[in-house]
Amino acid sequence: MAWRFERVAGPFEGPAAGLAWDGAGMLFSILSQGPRAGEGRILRFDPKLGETSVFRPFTNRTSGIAFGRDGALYGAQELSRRIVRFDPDGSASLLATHVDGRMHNLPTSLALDSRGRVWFCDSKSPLRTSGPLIYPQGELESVLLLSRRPREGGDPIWLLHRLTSDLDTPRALALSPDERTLYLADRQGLHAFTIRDDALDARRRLSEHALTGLNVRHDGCILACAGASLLLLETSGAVRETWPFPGGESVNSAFGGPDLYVTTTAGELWKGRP
Amino acid sequence: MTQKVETDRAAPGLARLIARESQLERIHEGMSFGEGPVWNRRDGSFWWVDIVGDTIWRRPRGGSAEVFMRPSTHANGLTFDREGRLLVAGWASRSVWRIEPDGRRYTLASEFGGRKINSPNDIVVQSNGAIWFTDSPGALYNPGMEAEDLQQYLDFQGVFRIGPEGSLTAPIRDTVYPNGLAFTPDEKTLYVNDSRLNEIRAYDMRADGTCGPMRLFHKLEGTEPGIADGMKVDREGNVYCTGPAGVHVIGPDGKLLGRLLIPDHCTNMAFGDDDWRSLYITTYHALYRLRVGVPGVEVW
Repeated sequence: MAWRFERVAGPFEGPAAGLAWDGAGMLFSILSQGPRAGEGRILRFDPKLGETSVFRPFTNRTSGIAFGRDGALYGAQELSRRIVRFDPDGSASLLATHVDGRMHNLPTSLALDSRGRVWFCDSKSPLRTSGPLIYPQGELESVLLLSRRPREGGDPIWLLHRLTSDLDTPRALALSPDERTLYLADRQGLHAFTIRDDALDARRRLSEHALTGLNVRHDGCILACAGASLLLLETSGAVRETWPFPGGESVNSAFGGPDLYVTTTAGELWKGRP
Repeated sequence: MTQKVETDRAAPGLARLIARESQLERIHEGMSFGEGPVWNRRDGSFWWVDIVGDTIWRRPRGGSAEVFMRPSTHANGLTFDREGRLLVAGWASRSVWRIEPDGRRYTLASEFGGRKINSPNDIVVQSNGAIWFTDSPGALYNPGMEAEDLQQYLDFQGVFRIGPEGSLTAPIRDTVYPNGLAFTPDEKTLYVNDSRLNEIRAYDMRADGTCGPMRLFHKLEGTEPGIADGMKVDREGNVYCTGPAGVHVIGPDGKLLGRLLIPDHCTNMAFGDDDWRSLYITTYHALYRLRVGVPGVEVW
């Protein structure tokens, strides 16, 4: 099936990365690491108006973004080494950053499940993170899980667990529609993990393709970004379709209404229709 | 523990300020991120903070260190106002506050133009009672010392002034990551260093509390670990600024006089003792003292 793509926004000041559909518009993150602390922002494209506005400034290289069922947008804030919640009132708050007594590394991609839990991948990075280097990065490259536990007399607290620790520069992660499978792309290819409660069973390697973005369709197929191509993969990892992408290096994708949106390393947002 | 102070890149003028036989004395250790040093002339106590450790420390004259406040809103810069009240650049509280004589905390500044300020970093008081503080955004971004609300609302990272009557203005808005700040002895010039650019900027003061345009005063030298962070001035106008390898001593003309090589990562310094001729230096993990040749500008 041939798709027609058009550029709808950009280029902006840095690579475009994660996407999240808010029901009427597509949010997408812009990465930047200029001299100013906090650089980077999340933009919103309104397909009805064809206009782009600032959804949230000063996001400090927030890469992956996803909405939770609480209405808040969650982001993988790489340079601050944390998952951050962008609350509807305009504020931003911290969840939890330490696992096994140590601060985790740099998160890149995340997914929210129907229970409000945050699944994210975390890797070592040569990027210069914010502030003094008093928390050296660890060796483990992981999938981590944030979940909330009720607390008597107070707000629930966030707990952080490590689910895997033997990945090779994980870049993207997504959940299957039934939330029984976690897909993860790292330098070794595409992997699938069966989810069992708060744990991951042994992984299966589905593909050797180098992928940057994972986006699971309602039918369970996986739409993956592979540079100048988009791959539609079966749940087995078999390539069902390959779509050439005219916008250069693709980073990630998300569906919004009838359209497919794709971000690029050139800082652009593209929209495609079958 | 004492050790001889090593220096490098020394110009002829350095020996008069830092004698060759000077000893660096470690007087406290065990912090995660020491900062905010200040001498209290009224009772001879010395104060500093551990930002990550969320503590304000006090060392009474002749005594040993004791906790003054914990938690402390991850307090950063400290100084005293003309009435002797402790002023705090409140970092994670996103405010500047002081300790009243009865021990209560009183907030002096937390919003500008209806928006939360960033995270006050360091602080100094002018002879007319005006309070100046740098408003870098570190508590919004730095892991391990975060504010409750992590969102930056202001579109600049500058230097604020709280006038003697309490009004808050932003005379300097062109800095990237303003950090240490200090006046020349005659208060005609305000120095502000910028951690991201690793430079010291000079701003001429106007009588109405505003500043003239930025002049580059000094670009820090070296590739070793260390950044422009804390900064103080002595009575002759020499500038002491943290930077690569330790403390950089710069003449009033902006030229480097030499670098003091300090073990551990230097964060700030303060002149103290009754003659103001001791330079107290905070590092991530320890507090040091060093005798110097020229007294520092006094703290109120």
